[in-house]
Amino acid sequence: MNISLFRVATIVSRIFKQIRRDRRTIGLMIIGPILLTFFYLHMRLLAK
Amino acid sequence: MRNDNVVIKTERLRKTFGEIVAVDNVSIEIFRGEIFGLVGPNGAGKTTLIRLLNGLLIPDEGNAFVFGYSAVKLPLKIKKKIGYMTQYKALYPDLTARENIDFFARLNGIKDESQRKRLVEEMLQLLEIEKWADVVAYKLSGGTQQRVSLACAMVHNPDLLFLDEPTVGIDPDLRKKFWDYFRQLVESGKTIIITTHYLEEAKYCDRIGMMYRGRIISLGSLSEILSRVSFGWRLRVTTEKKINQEIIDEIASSFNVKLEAIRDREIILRYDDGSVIDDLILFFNKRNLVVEDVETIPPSLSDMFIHFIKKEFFEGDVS
Repeated sequence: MNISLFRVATIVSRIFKQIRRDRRTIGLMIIGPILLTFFYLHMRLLAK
Repeated sequence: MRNDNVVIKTERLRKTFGEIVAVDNVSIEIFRGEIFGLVGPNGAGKTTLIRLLNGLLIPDEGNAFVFGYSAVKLPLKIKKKIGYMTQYKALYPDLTARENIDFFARLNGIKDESQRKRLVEEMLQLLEIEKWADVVAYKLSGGTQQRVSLACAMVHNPDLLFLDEPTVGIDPDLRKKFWDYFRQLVESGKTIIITTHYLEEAKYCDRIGMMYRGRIISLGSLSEILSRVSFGWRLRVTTEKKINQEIIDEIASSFNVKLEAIRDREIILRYDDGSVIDDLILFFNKRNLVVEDVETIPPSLSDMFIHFIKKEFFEGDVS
């Protein structure tokens, strides 16, 4: 199967454009991991 | 398949989804430069047939050829000659109208940026959506989204366009504009296959295939289809003087017709056998009623549709 790099680049650029405008997803991508990290640390402290 | 004018040919095409037969034994030919309408109610199998022709579905039985190639294995060079506007708006809601059109142009292999830009601008102008070019798709009205979808399907200037219910949910004014534009396209040598469940839109097509329960129940131009229907014709007779009750009673008892409307000098009746027209004129003349005008009114498209359904599915009960 031939994969056209141009088509792949087209799709990737489309996905980035969409993410850029989707504030909720951007928020989840940044805040979500931070919250999880704090939660994990908190659980570890409690376990000690 | 070698005939250059035949763009699409299907042979006994059949597709089922479990128990449901979506497309049943469909054999059609569609020619270059025509608007071919697939007309039928929801669930008739129109979209499935289009998806089979596009190579998006694999038939259970039969074959479909597009530009001479099997629809199951369409080469990329042929796929680029096809535009497909789906029934449901296939737009990316977070991209603007312009970005959506540009995306589909790129997907269809238009690599040159200046050429792409020109084509996108042409589409925006043609479909009168320049005003909304930089508005994200989810904020656009239904009609404008429909226009953007059409632009996405056409931006790469395809030779064959599949339009699945493109006029659903848009106002009559815009619908008319769409049809005018489709006509311009076929005049420039494109081929359009369009589905609609608005029976009255069949008049805009060069040929139609009436679909019901997966089958093509009648195929041809509107006048060809009309000529196959002997049922449901109406006759309007206008006379010089008032038609009195005695004459009306006599018509009802002596002729195989159904009186539908009676006005002063005008009578509308439904007949199944065309020979009744001459007999009626003779009848009026004998009663010294000069016939001013006689007009035959063809059955409506919905009448015709019901006629063909009865013929196909309840053979022998055509009434």
